Amino acid sequence: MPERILEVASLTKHFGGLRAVHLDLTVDARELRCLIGPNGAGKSTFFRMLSGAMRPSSGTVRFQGRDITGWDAFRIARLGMSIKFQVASVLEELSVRDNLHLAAEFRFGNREGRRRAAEMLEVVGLAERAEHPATWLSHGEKQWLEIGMASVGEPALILLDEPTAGMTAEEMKKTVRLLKRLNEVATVIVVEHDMNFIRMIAGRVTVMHQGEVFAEGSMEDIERNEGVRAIYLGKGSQYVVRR
Amino acid sequence: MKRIASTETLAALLLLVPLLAVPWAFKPYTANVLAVYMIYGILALSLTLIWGYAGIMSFGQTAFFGIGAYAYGAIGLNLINRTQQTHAAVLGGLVVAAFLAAVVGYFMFYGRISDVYASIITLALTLVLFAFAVSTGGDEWVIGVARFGGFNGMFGQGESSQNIANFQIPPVTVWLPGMAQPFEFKINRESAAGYFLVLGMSVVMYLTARWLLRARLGRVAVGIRENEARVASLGYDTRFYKFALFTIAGAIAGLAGILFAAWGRFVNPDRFGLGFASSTVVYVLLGGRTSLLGGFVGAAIVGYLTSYLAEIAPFGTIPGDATPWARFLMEAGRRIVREAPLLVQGAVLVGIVLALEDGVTPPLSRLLTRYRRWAWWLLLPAVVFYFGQRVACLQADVCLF
Repeated sequence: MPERILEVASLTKHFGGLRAVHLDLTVDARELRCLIGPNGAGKSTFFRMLSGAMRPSSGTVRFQGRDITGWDAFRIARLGMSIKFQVASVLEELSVRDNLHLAAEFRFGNREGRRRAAEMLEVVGLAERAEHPATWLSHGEKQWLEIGMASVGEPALILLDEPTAGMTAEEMKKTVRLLKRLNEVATVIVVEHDMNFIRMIAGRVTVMHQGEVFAEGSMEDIERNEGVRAIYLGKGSQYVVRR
Repeated sequence: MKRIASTETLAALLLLVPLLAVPWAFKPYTANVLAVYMIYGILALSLTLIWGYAGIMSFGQTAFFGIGAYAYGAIGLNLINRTQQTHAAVLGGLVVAAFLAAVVGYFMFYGRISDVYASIITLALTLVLFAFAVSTGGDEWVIGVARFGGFNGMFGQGESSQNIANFQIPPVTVWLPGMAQPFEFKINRESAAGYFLVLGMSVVMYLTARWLLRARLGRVAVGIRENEARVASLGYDTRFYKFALFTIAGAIAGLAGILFAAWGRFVNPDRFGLGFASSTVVYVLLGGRTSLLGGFVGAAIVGYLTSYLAEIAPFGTIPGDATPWARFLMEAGRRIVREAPLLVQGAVLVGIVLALEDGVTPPLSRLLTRYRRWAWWLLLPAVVFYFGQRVACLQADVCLF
């Protein structure tokens, strides 16, 4: 039986009277998990609670066997969880190389961090833009830079919130290759809207709806699920998510 | 990036070379004035570090400057007659300033106070210290022979001394083992040691700041300015980095305060005041937040403007046949310039800041980058000017500065 890297038990977030998230979820080590759901399903809130950017109202998060509920973001990051936010948030005025260096330095120190950053520049395909300030990058390039920053520290778990938002089909293919490569050494959880992307990744899919886990299974199972179709396209719709 | 760094080095050298020659070319007055500009420049440098690089606006950086100055004065006055040197006073000033910054920084950053409030808290701190320093006029506010003196500022109360100089805060005085007698860093006709001390400290602090920014502390600080949540999610405890940089900046401001007290041999509550606090912000804004040299440039511009405006009398003598309206306008203009130099100074500063949002250093450094091949020739007019004025001053007693 594979090791459970992440166990989330009745994790809840209230905003005033609104219960935004209430869910249980387990993820195995080295899994590539997709998290989908309509807008407002609570995916980003869930990620923010996992990574420590937001404190949960109740419930527990166990990561690598340790209870990390309510920890500060930097301590969670040190334990080996990294995140790419939904809105690309690279350090705009630093060079691409310095962005990666800062991300790698914490784990590997200055010199080794510099070497790892240089390697990661090749992996994400930004070597030619290494000395440019990150603010000059295109939208897609910023996404790759963030994926690079999230993975250069060799975390055990990588959270990616909408890594392909605003990408062309070609860029998306490249991102899929990148993700598969990351998945060789780390567990990856991806939040996405794009069904083509989810299909290309072909991992296990969890559907969230109104803050709860609605369904879980392979992409084929999910696409056959009447309820999921109803959530996405409205009740009674005869349209199938296009293949 | 490398190119920009070397332009900055070039600019620093171009500023340094003429400054090194000042005591030989000019009267002590000039060295004295330039020394205080550089002291304010060091203070501005400390603000540039935390504001320009870590994005934490400290409106009350003068609190650490003032407390450093007072601590140096109090310890120095007590020490000088007993030990003939002020080593412990310098150290004490630094420690007190750094300690105050550490305490304030700890509560601000570990208390999760947002950065907007940091400027208000530091401003309140300097104003509280101002009010406190003003209220120390009574006889009970005495440490050893150092009298706080309330609004009149700090003086010593000697018993046997006849000379006023013995009541003043001592200059930085060094007496190391192996030296026949103590050495005082003064600026006068005989010695420019005090000037070189300030110049040397400016260089050392500038290099320290550059080194800090290249080290991990500086890289993380810039990351915090850009996006604090992102840097935290990379595993950095951003509170600690802000705390550390704030403490170091406090110590640098404290050093400037020590040099100030030793330079003027005096300190009063004005160093905590609102006017001085906002001047410091203006130095940085004017010089440019993104360059470590900016604070020095800003302090020199404001300092020169202030003393120049106080001296000039526009419109010469008002002609006797002027109409009453013209007479009124000229009289008013002269009054404004002469009696409210701050008003004119403020208008000039607002103009510059509006025209150049990043201050005067970025356009200057762009020019320097473009003409870097010719940069060293910029020193030529300085040499001619120095030499010419020295000859004129010695031969014909026509001295510009």
